[in-house]
Amino acid sequence: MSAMEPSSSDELTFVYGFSARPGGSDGAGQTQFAALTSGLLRSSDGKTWTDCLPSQEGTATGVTSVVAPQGDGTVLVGLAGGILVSRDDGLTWGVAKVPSPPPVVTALVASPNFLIDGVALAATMEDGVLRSSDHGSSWIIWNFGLLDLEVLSLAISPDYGEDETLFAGTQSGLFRSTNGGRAWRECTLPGAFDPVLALAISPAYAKDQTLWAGTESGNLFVSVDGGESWETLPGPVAGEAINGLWAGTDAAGGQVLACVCGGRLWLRQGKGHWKEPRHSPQGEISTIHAPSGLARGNTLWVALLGGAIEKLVI
Amino acid sequence: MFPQGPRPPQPVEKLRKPAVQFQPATAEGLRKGIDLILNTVAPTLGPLPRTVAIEQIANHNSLPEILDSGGTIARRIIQVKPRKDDVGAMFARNVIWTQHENAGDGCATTAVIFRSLVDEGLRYIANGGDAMMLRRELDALLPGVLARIEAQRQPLRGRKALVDMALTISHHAQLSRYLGEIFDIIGEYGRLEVRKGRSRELEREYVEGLWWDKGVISREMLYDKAQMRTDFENGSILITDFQIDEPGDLVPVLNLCVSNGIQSLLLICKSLSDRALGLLFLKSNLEKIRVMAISNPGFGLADQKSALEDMAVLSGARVLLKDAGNSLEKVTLSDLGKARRIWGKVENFGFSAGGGDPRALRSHIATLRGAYEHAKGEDKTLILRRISRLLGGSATLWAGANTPLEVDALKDLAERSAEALRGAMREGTVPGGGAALLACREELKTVSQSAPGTEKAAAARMLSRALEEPFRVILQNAGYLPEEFLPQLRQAPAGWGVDVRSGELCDMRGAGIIDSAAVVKSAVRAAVSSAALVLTLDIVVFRKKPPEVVASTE
Repeated sequence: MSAMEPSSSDELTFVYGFSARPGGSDGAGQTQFAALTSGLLRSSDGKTWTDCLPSQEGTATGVTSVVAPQGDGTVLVGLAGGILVSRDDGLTWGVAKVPSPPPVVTALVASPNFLIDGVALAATMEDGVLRSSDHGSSWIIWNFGLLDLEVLSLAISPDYGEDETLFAGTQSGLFRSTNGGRAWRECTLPGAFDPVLALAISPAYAKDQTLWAGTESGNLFVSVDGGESWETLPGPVAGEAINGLWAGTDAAGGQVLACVCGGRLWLRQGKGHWKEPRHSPQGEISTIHAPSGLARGNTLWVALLGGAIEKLVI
Repeated sequence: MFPQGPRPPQPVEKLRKPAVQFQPATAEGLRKGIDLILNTVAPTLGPLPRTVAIEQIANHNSLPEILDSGGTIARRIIQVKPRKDDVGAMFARNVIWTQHENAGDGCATTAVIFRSLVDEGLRYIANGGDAMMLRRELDALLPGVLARIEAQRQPLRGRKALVDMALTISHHAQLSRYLGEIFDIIGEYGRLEVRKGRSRELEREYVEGLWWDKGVISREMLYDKAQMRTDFENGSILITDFQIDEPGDLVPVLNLCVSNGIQSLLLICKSLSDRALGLLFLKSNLEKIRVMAISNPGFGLADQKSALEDMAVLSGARVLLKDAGNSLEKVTLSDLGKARRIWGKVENFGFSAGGGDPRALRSHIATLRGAYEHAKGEDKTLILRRISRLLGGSATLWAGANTPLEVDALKDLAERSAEALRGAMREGTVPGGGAALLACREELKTVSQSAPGTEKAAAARMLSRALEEPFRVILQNAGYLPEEFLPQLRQAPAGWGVDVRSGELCDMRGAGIIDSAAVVKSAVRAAVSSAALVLTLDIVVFRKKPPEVVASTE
């Protein structure tokens, strides 16, 4: 395990999320981005992180980068009031056109075929889900059926090009779209209305139709029919909010689930129990990043409260 | 060639005397009357239907009405001659029209099943069968048939399935594509308005956000004079049913808003006098706060109250009602709702991203959905409109065509198809082309073999034969002989039928040929229970009727 400090950090620095582009435009391996309360950081070697947002832009609330062939360079960044777009891997930025007044962006996802279809979606605190079909330059509100406009989490199907499926976790529960975000339908989760803070979709969703939802009350739900019906799973820590979920596969193709709950990282293999990984970093974990997946031996980036980012080998 | 000029004066028929009709004249009259109506409707069944031309009564010189909707055709026939046939005809007409009102589709299916049951039933009774026992057995077999249809039901999901379903209902390719797209977006409870086209094309458009058909009280409140509209960002909303006459009544509200930094206010009220408006337009007030006033939307007291309730849930406001003793003097900050965007024009207003509790909104919609399932008639329409609005968006379909007659026909088709598609989305689909009904025969065969020689067996045989009828008529309308396919279908799995477009046997669901489960069940229910009833008719009493003009025969 090795730790690196971002160029600016303090006790209150909080990392919201990561994104990585395979092989950055500078050709030096994976280009990583981290969204913090203090801005946006970029690293091309995982050791040195530099600020790459103009300082007056303030807090970056979320970041995603396009999974695109080398050389595309699009980076989308969500802010407390709007969205920024870069076409050169974060060197220069432009302001995306969003509806007025600009909303607080809580999550960003891009279509797996972003380079061709230009589709990206942004979850917001007040305006539901914004949709872009021009590679992030302009965004419109399109909330048919989205009865709760405070969207806390967003997940896109890995097979989006075929099934156009998305899930939005909101303050009161979960919604699903099967037409690329043009319309939403309620998903009925067990129990009462509960904020859905985290979502994870199986990498083999096209086949297994499996996804997970984690809530503020610590409830963890799984669906194996694309969100039609749900079952409750045991969470890692009863009553603690589930702040992050990631789904992957191990070397044998079995399901692996990672979860940030109660400030700790937990892993679950198949239907086994939740366990903390060995050498899990000390300190409160805010989020993780698994650029190579969740198989044993892979490296995770673990962000701690205070802004430190540590590597962890599973 | 249609006759030109006004009709010549007609002789008045003599007063019709009362009379009582017994068997066998009753059965003969029923059969003739029912056949007359049902034979005009049966050709409209299937994807290759025939149309029916109805002469215009009001204007003899105008073109006849060309119809392919069984319900509308039946409704146009208001009387047949002689009167001994009229009873059966009007009974059949009522059965078909009721199906149209309840389900929006399936009229021809109802008609052919009904006709088959009545034919077979009358023959059975003429041979000594007991009508009341037969009726009892038919009614007893009905739940089993409905359960078998239900067992074949699958949910309707995805745009392709919606388009296929719309095509089955409307037989109009472009309309189906648009309806499939629209309902994929707005859902089964979404708001769809079908209007006469503004061009010769079929068009659709979507409006995101909520809106009501009520404009600003005064055009002076349209602060954007160029666009003739007002737009507020992060505005507040006050919802009342007050009649505000005195400017002084508004002062507490305005002070409350200004002291809390509120710069824009949407005011919903019953009315606002010119004097009160004057206060709002004072320059000194306009600099501090802009108010857009709308009078209570909705028609009728119940509709207006519902609209206020819905707005309150969406915006987080409290509705202030005169009858509840509320007043503008006692308004507090917590009574005001919020919305990120509010807009108003001459004819309508709306808002989006309201500040209401989403849990309360979802519960409210769930309550309305429950009420919708049990409502009937106009109440059902009103509740649907409320749900549609609360879902936050709407679609408009413009039915354009080359001639006014085509426009009317297309609009009517679009409305019926939309209604039937909603039903299919809510209740699912079954294999189409009559295949779902063919699959019900197996259980009926078992019943008829288990109790041979009884009314039960007779009823099961008749019902089995009647459930084949839609399949037969669809093939006959397309120019095929049903007997060529029935033997093969007996060996085929359930859900197989004939695609009349290709003339081949196929898995109907796999071929995208599906029917609304709600419509099929409704058609079977209507046909069986009505046929069971009409078979018990033994005596008809004709009442004295006033003189009437006799239509000239040509």
